[in-house]
Amino acid sequence: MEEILTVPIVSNVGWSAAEFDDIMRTHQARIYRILWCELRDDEAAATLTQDCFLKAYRGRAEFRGEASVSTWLVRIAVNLARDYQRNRRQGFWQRLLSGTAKDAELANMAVDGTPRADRAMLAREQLQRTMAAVKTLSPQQQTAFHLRYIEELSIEEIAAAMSVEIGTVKSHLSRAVSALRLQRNEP
Amino acid sequence: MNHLTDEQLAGWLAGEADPQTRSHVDSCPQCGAEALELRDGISRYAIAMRRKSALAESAHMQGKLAPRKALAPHRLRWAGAGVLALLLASSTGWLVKPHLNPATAQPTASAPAHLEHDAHSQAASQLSDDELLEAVNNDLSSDVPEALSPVSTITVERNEIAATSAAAKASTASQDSLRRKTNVP
Repeated sequence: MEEILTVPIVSNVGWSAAEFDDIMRTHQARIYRILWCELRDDEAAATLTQDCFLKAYRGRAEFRGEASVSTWLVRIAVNLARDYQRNRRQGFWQRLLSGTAKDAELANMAVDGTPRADRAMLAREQLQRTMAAVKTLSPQQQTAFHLRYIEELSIEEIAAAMSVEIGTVKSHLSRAVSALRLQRNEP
Repeated sequence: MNHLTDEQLAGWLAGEADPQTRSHVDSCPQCGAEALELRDGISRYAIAMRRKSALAESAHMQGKLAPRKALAPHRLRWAGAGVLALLLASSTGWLVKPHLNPATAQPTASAPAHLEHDAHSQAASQLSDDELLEAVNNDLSSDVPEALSPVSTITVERNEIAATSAAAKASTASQDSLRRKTNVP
């Protein structure tokens, strides 16, 4: 397994357990959401959320504050998700078999029981097209897309979290737009 | 200006478009409609993902926190029972006693060697028990954030039990002392 904590090791000063509890409470929902969006698996997201904070806690002395705590945690989470996806043997079949039901469920969640049936239908269709487009993206492109539009991170933050260049993030997002456009133009 | 490229549209969606691109989105009906439609689709996607993950997290936390409290004392009891069983096993010797094959067993001449072997085995076993106890103790007393590990719950409970026990002893001692004082004329 690759080394997750890439923040330079300089300081021995870390957080106390109480301080780390606060950090955890502040960031737990976001980290879970990022992992869930990456994996679409409730249990795996929960387990990796714990792993993420455990790794961060163990490596707390290594955190210098060059990146924000949030970016640092997101980076750990993204790497954990990558490792998990790499190691998941049956992932392809699992996603293939369960994807339709989950997507339908998601499609319903974006529609707030609006009284106008046509608006609801349009919203569902837009969402389904977006989901279909996202599925065509590579894992890296999906991660950039999720971090930008779900977590609303800046391009710079995404680059730091994914350990890539800013230009690479822009390229990923551009590719996502290309996929969205393709889906939109499909009959 | 031609219609927007993927890069330009991505920049506009990311809120980082240059003035020329923004102007084009405002003035070109085709690009404007496309940009707004993509933005709406992404927005719905983000909302759906956030809701679903929030529901999943909430369901997971509800399912996880309730049994954790109930399980913690059981874990403590099992850990205690395991340590006790190992101590008993090592003290009675059956765990580490070598099983001699009657066909190959040496008679009296090898007795001192056996005694020496038993002594070494017992020492090794004792060391092993000590290591085990130390490991259990380290686990129980490790300073980790509350939310990280169930062992912190066990630590708190263990400390509470110890505190209760100490308080009960102190109370008994003070009552005895009081009784002695009152009986003395």
